[in-house]
Formats: sequence, C-alpha cells, structure tokens
Amino acid sequence: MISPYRKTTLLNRVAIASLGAAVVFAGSASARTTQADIDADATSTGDVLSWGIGQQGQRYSPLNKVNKKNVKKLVPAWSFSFGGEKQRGQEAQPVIKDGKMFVTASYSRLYAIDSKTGEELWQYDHRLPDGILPCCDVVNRGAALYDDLVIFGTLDARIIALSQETGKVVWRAKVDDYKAGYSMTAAPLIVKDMVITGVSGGEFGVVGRVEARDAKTGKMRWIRPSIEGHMGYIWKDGKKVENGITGTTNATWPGDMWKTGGAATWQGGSYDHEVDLIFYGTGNPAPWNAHLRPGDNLYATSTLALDPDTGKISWHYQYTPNDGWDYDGVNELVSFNTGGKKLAGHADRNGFFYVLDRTNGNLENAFPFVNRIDWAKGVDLKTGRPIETGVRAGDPTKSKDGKKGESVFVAPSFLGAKNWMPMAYSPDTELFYVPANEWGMDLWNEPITYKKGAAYLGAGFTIKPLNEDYIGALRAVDPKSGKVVWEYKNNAPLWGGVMTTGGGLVFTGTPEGFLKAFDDKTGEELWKFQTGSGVVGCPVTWEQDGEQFIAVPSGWGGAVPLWGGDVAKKVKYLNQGGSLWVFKLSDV
Amino acid sequence: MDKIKRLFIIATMVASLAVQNFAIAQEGESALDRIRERGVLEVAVYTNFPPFSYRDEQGRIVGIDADIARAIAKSLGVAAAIRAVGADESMGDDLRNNVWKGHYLGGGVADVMLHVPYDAAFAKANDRVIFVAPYYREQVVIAVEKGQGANLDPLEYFSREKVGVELDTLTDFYLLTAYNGKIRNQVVHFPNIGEAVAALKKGDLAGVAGPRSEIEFALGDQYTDYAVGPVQMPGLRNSGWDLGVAVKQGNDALAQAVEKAMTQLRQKGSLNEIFAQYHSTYQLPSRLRLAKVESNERLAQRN
Repeated sequence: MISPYRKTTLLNRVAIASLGAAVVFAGSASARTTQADIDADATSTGDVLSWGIGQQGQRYSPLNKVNKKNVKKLVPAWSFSFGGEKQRGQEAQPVIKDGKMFVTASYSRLYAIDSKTGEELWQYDHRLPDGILPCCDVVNRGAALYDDLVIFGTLDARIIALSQETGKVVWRAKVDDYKAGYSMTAAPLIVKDMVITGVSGGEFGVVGRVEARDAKTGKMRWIRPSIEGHMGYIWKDGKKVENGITGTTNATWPGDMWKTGGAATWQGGSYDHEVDLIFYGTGNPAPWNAHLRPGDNLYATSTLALDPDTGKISWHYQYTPNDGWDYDGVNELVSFNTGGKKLAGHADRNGFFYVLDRTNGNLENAFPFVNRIDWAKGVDLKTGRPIETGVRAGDPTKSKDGKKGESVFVAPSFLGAKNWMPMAYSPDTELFYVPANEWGMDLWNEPITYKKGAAYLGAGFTIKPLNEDYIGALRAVDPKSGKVVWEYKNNAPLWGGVMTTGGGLVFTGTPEGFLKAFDDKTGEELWKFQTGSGVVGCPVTWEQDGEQFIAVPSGWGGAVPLWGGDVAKKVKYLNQGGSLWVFKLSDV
Repeated sequence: MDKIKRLFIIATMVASLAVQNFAIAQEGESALDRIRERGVLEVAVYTNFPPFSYRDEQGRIVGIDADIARAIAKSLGVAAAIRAVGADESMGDDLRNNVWKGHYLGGGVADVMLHVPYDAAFAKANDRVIFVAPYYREQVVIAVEKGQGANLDPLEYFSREKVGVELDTLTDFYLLTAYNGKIRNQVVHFPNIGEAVAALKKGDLAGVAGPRSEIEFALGDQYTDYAVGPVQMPGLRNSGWDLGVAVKQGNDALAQAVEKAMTQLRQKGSLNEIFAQYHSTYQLPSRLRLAKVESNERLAQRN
C-alpha cells in the first residue's frame, strides 16, 4: 500500500535534520507539530497545519508577497498527478510542514510530496473493502497534522494515523460499520491533543455524534450524540462512563423518533482557542417528512458548541427548526473579532448569513446572502427564530387520490445557498467571501415511490437555476451591514473553498477548471489559470525559501454531477481529473 | 451530503415517456445467448431481507426470492449466481446500481433483479429497465393477539397500546400521521420486522404493522396465536403492491424467457410451495387475480 521509498525520502530526511537544528537554535517550533503550533496556524506563514488555515477557519493568510500588483505574474511551479484510474471529485485542502505537503485525494488516498519540487515522497492507498456505499461521491477533504503524525478519515469509516516521515500506519481506529453506510470524508480537527471527528452517512435515521480520541494513540476520550435523549460518554482511567444525555428527552421530538433522528455530523468542525470551544454543525433531521415530527427537532440543523474537556454542549444555535427542505446545518462557523466582541459567521444552506456571539450562541445579526429565499421572510433577531412563510411541501399521507401532490417552488434548493465549500474572512477588509449558489427546487410529495421493493412515500425534488447566465456567485459580505459589497458570477455552481490573503487577494476555483484571484475590495478578477479539470478543492498558501506558493487540487466531482435536472446541463461537459497545482511568481 | 437528498432525483432525471417494449429482438448474440454460453444467470436480490433473501447458518443465501431465482435459472438450463445487494435510497437507485448501469464504484450489473415493483407509473419513470414476470402481491397487515382481531378499532386500541413498525417505511409514515397524529406516541420503531415481532411475542407490544410476508415469517409456528389481517385505516391507499423482475432494456429475449419460466412456476404451484415453506401466504399479483384464490381461504381460516 505504500510505494517503495525513493532516494528523495532519504535526502529530504537529511535536509530536515539540518533544518531542524537551525530552527531549534532560532527558538522556533520543532519538527513535531504541537497544539500551540496549531493554535498559531493562522499567523504562521511557513506552514499550513490545519483545516481552515487555522482552526478558527478564516482561511486568511497574512502573506503578501503575491499581491494585487503582481498576481498577473503567478505561474505554475509544479503539478502533481494523483494517478491511477481513480479520479472523481478532489475536494481536499492540502497541509504543509517543513517542506512536505500532505494532500488527500478521492478514494481515501494520501500523498506526501516535496512542497518545493513536487516530487512524491510516499503514497498511502487505503484498501477499501467491497460493498462501501458512500452516498455522495468518494471525496476526501483533507488530513490533520499532529506531533509526527498525519491523520485522516476514510470512506470505510476509519481514522488512520500515519507517520509523516514514512507513511506507515501508527494507529487506526474504527469509527463505525461501513456496511451500515457509514463513511468519513471530512478533515479531522486537533484539539488539546485529541483528534475530533464526526460521522458521514449511515443508515436511515442514524444519529450523528462528535467523538474525541487521544491523537497519539487513537484511544477514546469522549463521545457526544447530536440528538436530544441520547447518552454521552467520557472515558475515565480507560473506563467508559455516562456523561449526561444530550438535551432533554422528548422536549422537541414526539414518541420514540429521537432515537432515529439523524443530524449527521459529516462536515467536520472548527476549534476556537480564544473561547476554548469546538464548533460542530449538524445535518437534517430524519425522516424527511417534517409533518411526521412536529417540534423543533433539536439538535438537527444546528451548530453545537462543545466543551473540549468534557464533550458537553456549552451552547447551540438552530438555523432551521423542524426542517422540511433538507437544509443541513453542517456549514462551518468562522470566528472573527470586531468592536471588542468575539463573534462568528455562518452561511447556511437555507440562504441566511448568521452572526453569532461565539461565547454564548446569541444571535447578533442575520441577513440573506442570496437573492431569493422562499421559505422564510427573515430571522427575528429577538427570538433567534426564522419568520416562516409557510412554503413547505404538503403531507404525502394526506394525498387523497394517491397522485403526485401539489408542487411548491422553494429557493434555495436542498444543495443550499452554500454547500460544504468553506468561505473565507479577511481581518483586513472585515468581509466574508462566500461561495454561494443561486438555485431553487420544485418540491412535491410523491405517494407512488418504492424503496427496497416496498411502496414508500417520498418527496420529489428537481433543482432549477434561478438565472439563465449563472448559478455560482462568489460574494463579499459585510457581517455588520448585511450588504453584499461585490460579487463574481459563475456559470456553473461554485463547489470549491475560498482563501484570502494579506496581499489583498481572494482565491477560489470554478467547475470550469479555473483557479481565479480577485481583488478583495472590488471583486475585480485579476488572474486565472486553467487547471484542466473542475476545481472543487480548497486553496492554501505558504512561504518557503523566501517565495510565496499557492496550491489547489483540481478534479471535477462531488455532489453536483450526481444530480440531474437543469443543473446537469451546465456541468455535463466537464471532465474528471485528479491533480494538484502549485503556483508562484514568475522569475522573469 | 446526507443520503436523504438523493431520493427520487434519479426518477426525475429519467423523464422519458417511453414505455416497455418487447417488439424488437436484438441482432447478433443476445444477453440470453451469453447467459446460456456462460452457464450462469446472475440474479440480484436484497441482502439480509427475510423471508426473501438472507443467509442461513451455513452462510448460503436462502429465502423466497433466492429459491425463485434458482428455479428460474434451472428452467433456463443454467446455474444461478445470487448477488445479494444492499438497498439504496430508492428503488430507482437500486435498478441503476444493479440492473442497467452498475454502481459508480464498479462491480457491474446482474442479469436480472427480483423484488422490484410491477407498476405502470413506476415503469414509466424507469425506462432503462423492462419489468416482467409479476410473481406475487405484498400487502400491509397488522398482527395482534388473537381475540383482538375481529372488530379492532385501531384508533381506540393503539391510542393506549403500543404498535411496532419498521423504521422509514410506508407503514411507519401512515401510523405516525393516522388520525391526525393521535397514535403517534404509541408507534415504536424497529430496524426490521423480525425485531418488532420478537417484541410482540415478548409482550412488549400489542401489535405489529408491516408487509404480510415478513410478519408471517417472523411469527413462524406461533402465527396461530395471532390475528393477521388488513386493517382499514383512513388514508391508507397503497396497502398492497405487486412485485416482479427487472431486466435491462434491450435484453428482450431474456425478459421473455424469465416471463415464461415464472408463468410455469406459478402454474405448477411452485410459487405456492416456496411461500409456504417460509410460513408466508402466497397472494397472486393483481394482474392475475381473476377470482378469489385459495390463499384467501387460508387467510380466512387463520383469522
């Protein structure tokens, strides 16, 4: 599973050994990644240690060697092919330390690459069992660095910790049974020497949870279910001890439905060392038909703020109570400070941008970041609850004639005004850069459907673009005024992460294959490069030997091509790929 | 992306008006020729799905569908290779994964798939597939302790007693919303009918609602202690549905051969025997139900 060592591995070791001596002398970080290094990731420019370019998730680098004036001179430094026949969506964010890049690719593959030359150091191909049924493409979003380990989750629901040096497995942990539909696609989080993960997929009604393991050994530390009524656990002296139930049983769920209430934690989380809280988003409640589960259905479609020492819920904020549109609440919560307040921003599937006080979850502001929202008129800033319009699908059990129920059109579509792809925040401009999509859906109840050979009551969805000329819209959003300062429109839906820099630039990729750079204040497109396949990965930047590098994976895929309707027409010509592109300023 | 989203997307993608068509035989070697040359008919059935397809103690895939698969292969003069497949979000996904395209992770398709709905509206929405050989009719029933069965008023009974269902099924949804949700809090969810019936036998439940064949099989030898029958519930429309066989569009000769084999099995009484072997009442598909059949008499005897 690991490719034979190359000469470069040995040479690199020697190089790092001598570099290490120099670094220790300078009193800086050692070769091993510590929690302090990770907490300082947002300001350290020689490395990228964590998902979010700092676990507060701003995706902002202070680097300014590449800036508005010279970005036109950005040229490829090297490119790296993930190889094989396995392509599909490349949604990863690379991490870089001590001249080594670690990047994951589709089908649970991980590569260690010399970050200066692009030469492969080693490759780990996780052996996937037959019979995995990942729901939505075979993506992986990235790895975490800790100590001398590189840690990532796999499609068969394992956490694998590899030696950064050799690519050999140091520890592995089974999160759950892939035969029951579990998988892992998110990048793990490192908090207080623990690795924090959620779960993806799972059979119908499986309840989401956040788990903490010792990052050095993989041993369990705590587990926190994401639906009320379920017991959480903590490990004390190696023993599993009850640690209080989540919420209050039957407070917001009828009957025994909380037992199978959904709220998957598939997207991963963030950690804010200033307030010492883990933020984790939760998916939609089960079953899909909201008429069956009257109540708010906590803690689905919410952000949970967890105490990292105990796994207990410190506060929560629910974006879409009694969700009837499939608006997962998993999108990231990004910390920012302004006017002496510790705040955080969240762009939800449901079309609203939320500004929360991240010390207590109180709603500070909420406003639309897309042009059309049908399901709610706004969010009441006093109560924190949406002001619903009543545009919901009918109850299919009430269909008198057994025919297709009345169709309602509702925007955003269930793929969301913003999906998984992470936004960025610049402390320079105090703007969020949100990769949004303008689309709606026809939504109807479907009395004549079948599941596992049995009649079933389904919902029908058809996604429709709202505009002829674009679906995607990268928007610069002011969290104070709620105004869109500028926007860039894109024909195909945007599906890649965003990064912003001290050079006044905003980077993001397009399904059409371009990595683009925009002026952070005006939105003017300053540079683009065609990578050969759709860009749905997350860009990063770092400095090495006095030069600033920018990297992004390329490879079209993810959830969009799995859907049909009018959206398919905009993306069906796009070709798959699997490579990593790295750029720097031209020498000439 | 949560899995629930994928519901019915495929159905909406395949919005063609084409209907099934047996008329034109393929030129050259047909799928049936290749199966005969190979000597094996590959049949997809659902995994872990008693009494239709499940593993016995020796690990062999047994059950009503497995037995029917072997009988059809035999009548085609070939061996049966049973492919046990997991159910995806919707039947349309299962047909794509197992009959006409194959899962995107690889593995190809089977020659035929059993336990697929035989329904004109469904066929219209899934025109990559030929639907043939309807072989039985499934029906939603409620099992309660004998003595409660005759004039059961479900609203009255289940507003004070617990009723078990399989999670995320038609029966589940109906009971949660029936009578404006008045019995919602008495509905107990199980991962499958087998576990629900086990709870009924233990006395933890007053009834179990779900597909007749699954409930009867789970009751097994104890079925005489229970009354099993359809219960009238307001709004319960799709209380029964026919099941047949799916073949990839274009493989007409194979479809015809399967249709013929199934007809023979039914006429010989083999289908009746197979169902009886698994404690389940055989019910003719509606297309073939010309008169009251003897299975109904057996049903009457039970109740």
